[in-house]
Amino acid sequence: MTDDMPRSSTDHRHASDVNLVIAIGRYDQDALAEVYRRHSGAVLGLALRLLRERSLAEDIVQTVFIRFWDHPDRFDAERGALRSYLLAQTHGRSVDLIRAESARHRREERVGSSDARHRDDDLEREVVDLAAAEQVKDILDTLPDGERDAIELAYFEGHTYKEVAVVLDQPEGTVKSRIRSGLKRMGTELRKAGIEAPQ
Amino acid sequence: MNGHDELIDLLGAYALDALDDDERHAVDEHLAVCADCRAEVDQHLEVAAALGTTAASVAPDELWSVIANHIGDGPSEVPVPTFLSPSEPAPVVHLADRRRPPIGWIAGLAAAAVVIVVLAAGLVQVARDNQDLQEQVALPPPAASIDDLAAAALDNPASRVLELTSDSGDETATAVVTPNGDGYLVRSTLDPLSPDRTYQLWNIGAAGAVSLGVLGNDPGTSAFHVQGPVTTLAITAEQAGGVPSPQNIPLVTSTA
Repeated sequence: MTDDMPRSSTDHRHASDVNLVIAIGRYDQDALAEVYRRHSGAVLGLALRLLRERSLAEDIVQTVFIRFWDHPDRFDAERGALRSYLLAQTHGRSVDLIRAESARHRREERVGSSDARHRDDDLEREVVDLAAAEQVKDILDTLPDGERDAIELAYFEGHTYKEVAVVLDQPEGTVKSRIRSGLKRMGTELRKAGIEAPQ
Repeated sequence: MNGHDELIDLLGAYALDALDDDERHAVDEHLAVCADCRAEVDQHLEVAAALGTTAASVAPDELWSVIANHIGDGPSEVPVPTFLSPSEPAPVVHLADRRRPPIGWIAGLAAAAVVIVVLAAGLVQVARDNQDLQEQVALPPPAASIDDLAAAALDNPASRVLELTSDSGDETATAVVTPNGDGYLVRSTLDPLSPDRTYQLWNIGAAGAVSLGVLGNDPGTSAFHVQGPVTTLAITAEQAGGVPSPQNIPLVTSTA
């Protein structure tokens, strides 16, 4: 299987994510290609959103998929969807990068140009499921300001809740409670909207 | 900070990777013993993933090329199959034939209520040699017509009828298993395979995948026997003669 674009068989195209994971466990490269086809856009998009630098974000994508190839056993289907797992890996690794002092320094230097870069990214960005993504954004917007701000700063900016507390000038306890209550509120609304787990 | 009540307020921040290391370790330790908190974190992670999808982009094909080249470099860490004794050397595994050996994660999947997850549990657990396999290939037709026996099994109110379906729902099969374990594949919409291929029926349980028999490349009504409980039935397409453990993605699986 090579190489310029992910190719997968018709069987793989119709296989569920869980069956693809099983196949990857058997070192089926076409299965990984299909997983990449399905989820790489979400993985890259989140990494870009967090890191604001394409080369770093693409490094994250590589890391996430190669590690998934090496350790498909770490995905537990009982605990959530495959995309959720891959995005959690993406987020964690991106945040690790952000929190590394050198990366943070470089990132802060880029803040001034981040808006322009975002617009460039937007031009090439193609939301896989635009309707669902818009629903998620709408639901996020319905949260009380304190919850929404805390979640956005933590998730999309990679801050710890203690850092968020400083940014928002709120007690740490308030911030961690708002993150939790906001996520619960969002979960309820997402389930109502039928987009509980991204597929 | 180790108590449930102290840690529970951190679960949201935990799901967003927004804890410092000490707190994260404390939550990790707590999650290992608290199913309620694990369930809550799982829900938070789903919400986080939904947030993540709002940023979706398009990954360039060139990026896949890098990944494909990397994983195609060869087995950097092909694990030794656990069914080998420690004194036996690890086999030479060619890339095209790489097969992950039985590993523990599958057992984790087996606990899931989702049938396909249970199916996953079995896919790499069972190691049998082909000799054993051939001995269990489709029971020889008894004196009575196999269709009659299958019909009798279907008429038995104590029998269990299992509908097997593909992920797409396009392909289906029906099996019936009597209380004494006699089973019959009574119908399928699976297309005929080439002569060098065969369909193979599996019973998937927490202990692994047990072959119930090779069905041939164009299965009609077939008899099999199940020892122990029927958990999930699955049919794969394999090389003619059958294989000791599933080598391909199941085409159809039974629902709970």
